[in-house]
Amino acid sequence: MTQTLAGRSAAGRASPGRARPGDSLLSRHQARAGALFAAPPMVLFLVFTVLPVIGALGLSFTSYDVLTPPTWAGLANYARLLKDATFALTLKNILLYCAMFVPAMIAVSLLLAVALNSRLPAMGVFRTVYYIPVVTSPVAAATVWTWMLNSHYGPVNEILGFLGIPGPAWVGDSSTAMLSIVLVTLWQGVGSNMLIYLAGLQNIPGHLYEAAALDGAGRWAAFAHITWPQLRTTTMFVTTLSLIGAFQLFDQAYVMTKGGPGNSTLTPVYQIYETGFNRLHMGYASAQAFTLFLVIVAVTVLNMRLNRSDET
Amino acid sequence: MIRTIRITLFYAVLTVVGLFMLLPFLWSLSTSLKPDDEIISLPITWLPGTITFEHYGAAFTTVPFARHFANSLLLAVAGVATNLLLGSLAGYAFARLPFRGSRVLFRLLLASMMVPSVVTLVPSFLIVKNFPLAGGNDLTGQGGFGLLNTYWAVILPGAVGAFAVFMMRQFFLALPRELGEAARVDGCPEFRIFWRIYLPLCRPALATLAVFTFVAGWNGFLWPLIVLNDPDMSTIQMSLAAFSFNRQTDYGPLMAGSIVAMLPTLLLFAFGQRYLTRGLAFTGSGLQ
Amino acid sequence: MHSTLVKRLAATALAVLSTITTGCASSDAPSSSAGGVVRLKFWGDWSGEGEQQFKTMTAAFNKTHPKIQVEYVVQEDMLTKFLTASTSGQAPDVMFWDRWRTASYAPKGVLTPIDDLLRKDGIERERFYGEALRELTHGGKLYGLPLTVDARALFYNKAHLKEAGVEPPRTWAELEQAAVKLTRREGGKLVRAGLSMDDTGLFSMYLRQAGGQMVSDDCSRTTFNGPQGLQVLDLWSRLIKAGVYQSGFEKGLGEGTDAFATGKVSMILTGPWKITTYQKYGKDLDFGIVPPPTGPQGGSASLMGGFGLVIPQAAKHKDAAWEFAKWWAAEKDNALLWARTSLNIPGNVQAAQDPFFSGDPFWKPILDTLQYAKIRPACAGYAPMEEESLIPNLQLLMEGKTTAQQALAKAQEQGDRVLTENNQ
Repeated sequence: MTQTLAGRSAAGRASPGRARPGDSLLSRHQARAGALFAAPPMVLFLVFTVLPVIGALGLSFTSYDVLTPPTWAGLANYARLLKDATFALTLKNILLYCAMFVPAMIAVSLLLAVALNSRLPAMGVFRTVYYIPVVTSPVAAATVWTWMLNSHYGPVNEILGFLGIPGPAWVGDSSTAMLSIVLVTLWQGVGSNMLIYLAGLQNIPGHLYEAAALDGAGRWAAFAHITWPQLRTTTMFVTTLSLIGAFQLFDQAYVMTKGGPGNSTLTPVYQIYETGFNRLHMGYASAQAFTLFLVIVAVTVLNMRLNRSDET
Repeated sequence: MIRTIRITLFYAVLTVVGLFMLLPFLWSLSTSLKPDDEIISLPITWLPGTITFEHYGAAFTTVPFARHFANSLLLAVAGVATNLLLGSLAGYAFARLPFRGSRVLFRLLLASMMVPSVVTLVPSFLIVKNFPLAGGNDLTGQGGFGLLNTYWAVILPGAVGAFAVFMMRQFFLALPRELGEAARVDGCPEFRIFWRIYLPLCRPALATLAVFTFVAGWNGFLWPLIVLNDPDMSTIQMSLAAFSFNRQTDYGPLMAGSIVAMLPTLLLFAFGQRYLTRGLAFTGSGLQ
Repeated sequence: MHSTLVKRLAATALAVLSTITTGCASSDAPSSSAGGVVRLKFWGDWSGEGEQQFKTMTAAFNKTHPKIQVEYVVQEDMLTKFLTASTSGQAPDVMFWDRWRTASYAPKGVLTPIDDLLRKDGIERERFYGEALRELTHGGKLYGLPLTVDARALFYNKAHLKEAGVEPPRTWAELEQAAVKLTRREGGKLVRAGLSMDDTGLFSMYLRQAGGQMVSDDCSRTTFNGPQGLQVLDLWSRLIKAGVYQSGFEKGLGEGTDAFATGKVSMILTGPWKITTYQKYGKDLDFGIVPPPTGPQGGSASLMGGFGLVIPQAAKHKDAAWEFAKWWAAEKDNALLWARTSLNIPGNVQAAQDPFFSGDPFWKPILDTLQYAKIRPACAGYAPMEEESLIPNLQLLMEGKTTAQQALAKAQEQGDRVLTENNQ
């Protein structure tokens, strides 16, 4: 996975995975330095992140209500999962969400980043404006968006009506509620990924574009042959994180639709939260969480494999 | 001529998209300035009939808003400092200095992000509570309250996020390998190569990471709530939650508070985004 | 390498698990009864104005009880905080408690039964609303005292009713007629709904008006899929067919643009917590309240809810906590002070009969409704069943994506499973 993820460095050199430790004196020296560099952060990481994960994994094999000590339950939680039609539905919902959200997120954030990477004046103002949704109060965002998308009084449908398109009921209809959440989460998250892409764009050496311009390459050609390939590691980062984040969608579904209508926006983490903290079945919630974990791992690995074969 | 039209069109599109991005913010702003009886209305009124600052006063007096603001600032700044330093150290090691077990560790790092934090909450709490030799605990972590009710309970678990390490690793990977090679042959210590050659080139990534970790720390709600007991240690998000109880929401003060709460992040952003300007960071010099 | 890492991780995992399993009895908190004064920790999740209301009460108590000093601590997400704190044996002395949660917490042994205390102090149960006590009872034991009671009633827009020439409805038939008359459409588009039908969770209330029951008495299975359930859904279907409502009409109008406050719906079944909101924000809103309409056979029903005070089993000063709870909830004057401060009907019946409420045109109908309002079935599986199985299927019915029979059958099938799984 590391090799796949690392891909090649921008200059097309060997990936770190290929530099085996012990190859030479120099690399052994480097390995020692690497271990030294990584030690303090990794100790914190193991204690405060990995240990709780292992603890939760352990809990998934117990019956645990948080209030009283857990009792060993073996595979009972996982057996219960097999019959849980609601949880299966949440997995289906979230796959649909990811399929809509992740590609749209990559496309829009990259487009905005490339546009705002221009040297024209006032770009900083626009970047700040586009970042504002990230820091806008979620309550305000949910309030305004659910109103904007209201079937009868919302401006979105008014504009659509003006264009002769009958607008749907958006969050009020089980067939469009998830799409509405995709739109709102895109709106809210695109600023962050735009920022990552902007940072990635700064690392592309300017001379590459100068050379391309001398060869008479147009804007599109420059994007396709320089920008996009040079952003490989950035895109891998944005895609992976968007996937991981999208699979754990909770807040917006909780605030905007409460999982409805008709359970159409019920997500796995929503259900896990309900199960663990409202219904006091933390053991079962943990089993649900690790099932979701396996799905995320599978999709992430698949995504990495696909991206690699794409360009080899 | 054609260029002028294209540029005008470009700005027009940017402005339309910008307005769209700003709508909820504008609504918050307008709500925070309206008297109560104007707040609920349909269709939404974008301009207050009468402008009042009473909600800003209420936001600061109903809860110890200033105190909570300062607490959040402390926690968010600590998060930025630790994540930038530790995240880039680990990210650099994973990208450029492979060591025994580094691949396993990195996979573990990635995997840890895929477990919903809802289920790790209780185990995390127990680790903080049973942290050895803190808060009256003995070596086995028994007997006291560990790190509970100290800022460390928030700072240490958030000191280095998988996100920070992953992001920095990706950016170091994108930098050419040969940058450090010459220095290495000259016998330059690894830390100097990292600190003097690679890290400065990552300024755009560091600025981005700073903004992200600040936002994450600033928006922290559930975790600080659980590990901090003293009301004087509360964070700004807890203040904001105070305007909504028993199925009623006090929109005026809530929105006034939200607007004030946005300011630090926006200031940081406006400052940090200067590092994302072409030509400032990486002009391509020294690469030929 | 791999195996050592795995081994090490496994060891630490065991350590974590063992700290959980041993329950890690924590050391006593720094002495909180120095100088003969007991310091009580009182947790609640009401903040802002709510916090001030609580502080009015603690100040009044502290003044008359120099030996007990209560401190109110706001916990924004009180239950999560209580859950995590419980893992290490920490708990407040008193908690402000959303009563319906008693069914899931009492069986875990984390709340203190108060029957003996009640008897010892000679406090008759008749002082409180019986249903509210029932909601605080589990397995024959009482776990707290009720502080507030609420019941859903029909809120109506006076101007709309006058203009349509209808009286506030008292029966389903009148409700149906009024709703149809009150509805306004422009060019086929709904612009004003006669009756809000957004909250499909009100099914339980309609069902009891029709004489039905949500779950069996022992809470082991659902019982709404029957002739009474169909009667409710028939009424709803007729209203939808007559164009009174459309799914999604109020979406986004719930918060800053409340549909009733802004005159987009003429009637809504909701609770007294809305009275303050409507008075505060509804600039041009002139509204009235009547008890909910009665069912086809004249059945009256409403849903009761509200808050109480409980004493956690891990509380350090249970006796002092009881003094405080008793002073607040059982003594009429204090219950009334609280009620008037917070604008909530008190769980204390005598206090509730004060003219402050019974003489007020907004509160009187709620008081009348409280005479017969019933709590949700008191079992842990009920709320999950409603949320996960019943409401989603009813929402699909409202969208016209399923029929009444199908909706009920499916809700029953899923609901029975969710009910039993969560009752454990």
